[in-house]
Formats: sequence, C-alpha cells, structure tokens
Amino acid sequence: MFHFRGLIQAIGVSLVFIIFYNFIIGVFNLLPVEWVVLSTFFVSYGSVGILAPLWNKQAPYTAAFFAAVVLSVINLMFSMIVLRIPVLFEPNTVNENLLSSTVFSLITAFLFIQINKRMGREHDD
Amino acid sequence: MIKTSFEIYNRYLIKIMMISVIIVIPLTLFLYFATIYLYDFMEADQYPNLYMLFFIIINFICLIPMYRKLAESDLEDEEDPTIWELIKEFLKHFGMVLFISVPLFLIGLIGMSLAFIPTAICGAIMLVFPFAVHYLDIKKMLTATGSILKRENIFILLDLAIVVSAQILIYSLIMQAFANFENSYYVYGITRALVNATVFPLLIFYLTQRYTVELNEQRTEAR
Amino acid sequence: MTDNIQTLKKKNVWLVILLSIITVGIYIGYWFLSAKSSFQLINKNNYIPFKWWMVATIYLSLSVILSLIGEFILSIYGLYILDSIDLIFAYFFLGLLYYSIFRIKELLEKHDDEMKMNKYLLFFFHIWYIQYKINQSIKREGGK
Repeated sequence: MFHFRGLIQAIGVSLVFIIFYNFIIGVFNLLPVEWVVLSTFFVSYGSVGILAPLWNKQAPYTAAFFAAVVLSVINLMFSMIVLRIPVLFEPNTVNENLLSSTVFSLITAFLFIQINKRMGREHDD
Repeated sequence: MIKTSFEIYNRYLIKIMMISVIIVIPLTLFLYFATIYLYDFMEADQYPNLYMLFFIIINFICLIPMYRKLAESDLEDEEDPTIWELIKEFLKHFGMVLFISVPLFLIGLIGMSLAFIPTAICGAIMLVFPFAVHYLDIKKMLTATGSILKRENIFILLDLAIVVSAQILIYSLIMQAFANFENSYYVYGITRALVNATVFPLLIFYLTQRYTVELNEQRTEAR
Repeated sequence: MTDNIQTLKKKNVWLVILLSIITVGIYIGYWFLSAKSSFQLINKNNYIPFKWWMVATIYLSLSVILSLIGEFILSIYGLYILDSIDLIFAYFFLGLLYYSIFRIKELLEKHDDEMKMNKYLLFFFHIWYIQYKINQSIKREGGK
C-alpha cells in the first residue's frame, strides 16, 4: 500500500532539484538572500508535494506529509551538524518549520491530485 | 571483460558524451566546488576532509545505476535506452543510493577504530549495492547485494583498489601536463570533471559484467 | 460474515475520549494494539502498520515519563531539546495515525456494507469516530 521506496525516490529527486536550483542561483547571484530562502522553500516542498503522490498513488497525502517531514528533519540535521546552529534549543521554531513545510506540501499535493483528476476525466471522455 | 567494456564504450560513445555533459560534469563540478567551499568555511575540528571523502564516493556510486542500465541493455540485447530514460534512471535511484550510503559511511567512519575491518566491509557494500538498487523490492535488493558479496567476497576489495587506483593514476598523469602552468581551482575542477566523464563509464561497465547475477548465471548455463 | 464484526470489541466512546485525553495520547496507541487481532481476523492482508504502533506506544510512554521526571534531571537546554525531538516524532505519529485510520475506514466499509463513514468527521475525531461506528454496527447486529 504505502511504498517506502517511492518516498525515498521523491525525496532524492527533490534534493537534486534543490541542489540544482540553489547552485544556479548562487553562482549567478540572482536574488537577495530572503528571496533565496523563500524560493528554496517553495521549490523543495512544492516538488515533494508533486513527486511523492506520483510514486505513491494509493496513499498520496500520507506520502506528501511524510516526505515533507523527512525533508525538514534532514534540513534540521544539516543545520545542526554541518552549520552548527543549535536548532533544537528552540522548539517553537522547529514546530513552525514542520508545520509550514507539511501544510505547503499537502496543499501542493491536493492541487496536483485535483488537476490530475480533471485531466484524467477529460482524457476518459 | 575489459575488451567487452571497451566495445560497449565504443558503441555508445555519443550517448555517453551526452550524459557526461548533462549529468556527470555538472555533478562533479558541483561536488568539487562544494568541497572547496567547505574547506574555506569549516574549522579544522569539523573535519572537512571527511565531507570531501564522502563527496568523492557519492560522485562515483550515484552514477552507477545509470551506466549499469546502459551496459545491461547492451549485454542482454535489449532495446537501447534513450538519454532521457538514462537521466530518469539517475534521478530515480539517487535518493536510494544516498539513503543507504550515508549510514554505511558513518558506520565505516566509526568502525575505523576497530582495525579498519568495518570500514573495509562498508566500502565493499557501498561499491556493490548500487548494482542491485534497481530492484523494486527493498528486501530483494538487499538479498541481491548479499549474494554478490558472498560470491565475490575478498575480491571486491581488489575491485575497490582498482577503482581508486585507476582514478588516481589518470588524474595524476593529467595533472602532470598542467604542472607548469599557473593553476586555479577551476582548472583542477574541470580536469577532474573530464577525467570522471571519461573513466567512470569504463569502470562501471567492467564492474557490471562482474557483478550482475543473472548475466553470469546465463553465461554459465550457456557453457 | 456477521460473526466477524462481533470480534470487534464494544467500548464506551466517552471513556475512550476521556482516556485518550488523560493519558496524553498513549491510549490511542493502546487502542490500535488492542484492536490488532480483530482487524486481522477481518482481513489478514490489511495495511495497518501495527509494528509502528508498537514503537509509537513505547515512545509515547517513555516521553511522558521523561517529561514528568525531566525537570529534576535535565537542565533547561536538555528540556528544550527533548521538546523539539518530541515535536518531530509527534509529526511522524500524526502521519501514522491518519494513514492507519483511513486504512481502517477502507477495511470496515469493505467488510460491512451498511457502514458509511464521513471523511471529515473521521479527520477530526479519528479513533473516537471509528469506535462510535463500531459500537453502532454491533448494536445493529445485536438488534437483528
């Protein structure tokens, strides 16, 4: 029912997207820092919201939710271990981070599924 | 085996070049610049060289599923995969490769205190599992990895040595040519990318022929 | 087919609500584990991850104990870190809860034709709503 492999695939592809996007933005210095953070947020959780339902057709919302949570946990771990920011000292920030990421990816997944349904119906007719 | 890998390399030269331009060279460049950035940014107690080692390993093993598919479709006389299919193969298996190799790398690092035995085992597994990562079922993937490990046991370490030494040899030979110039980061990075783009397919074709189980079974049956 | 629904136990809904509030959610894990055998009787190949519910129940109990005695053992930073880790796991369990209740919904609706569950009520009242529906169905079977 729930494919663990699909989840991992979606997260991996989303990571590739984030790396590619940030590399482009960072090399060419296209945006100010706030916009980089915001647009990275949209790219990462949006892509996860689209890709996780794609590879987990029977449980799309669960997949999107878990993928968002796992991605934000990866982000937290990265900032903790590599950048040495003590994120875990602020439970409120952690909560905001998790909440916003999951909500955004669920909304994207919802829109994606609805659009897919519409298009599927048009194809059936 | 080496002859066959050269043949495959020759046959798909244009595809390999295209993939190199699209994936291998940007990936290598990105990882190379990331290491430089980490060296600048981190202090000595954060061990940037460990990140560098991990980046070098990842650079090799996350390309394996893509080239494995190319080699296997040639050896089994299947339809040639298109470039888009190969890119999709890379994207699909990137997450899984990362997911398995990070814990293995950590275990290998921690295991260094135990006379490097866990490190060697983890290195062997890291080299082998991308050849089985295309199985949809995770259990089947692990059993395939285990069977390859059992069959080849100590010789995998030899393969590991071949992979590492071939890279070092070619890299150092090419660097000899640039030794007299005024070099910057970019020269090293681009040389590295070009070397990777030319050498990796050959190594992976060779390893695919050694490790892929079904192929070897078929060959023994044919004899 | 009518015998099987009897395997699900009848529980007072108000008691379930009260217990799950008092025990800060541990009871939800216990509810799933106690209903495991009955769900497996209905359909052996169900997709409800009971293994993970075992983990969840154990973790939740440990975390309640730690948060009770933590103030005497841990420093303020330790408490904050504990809070953050609790939060992360809470999100995982939230996903687990909604995954399993919707699988239960599919299971029961397939099993019992008369049972219809409202999606939105299920979303807001999770296991309480399922328990309510199970009680209703048992009542119906008994009435016949």
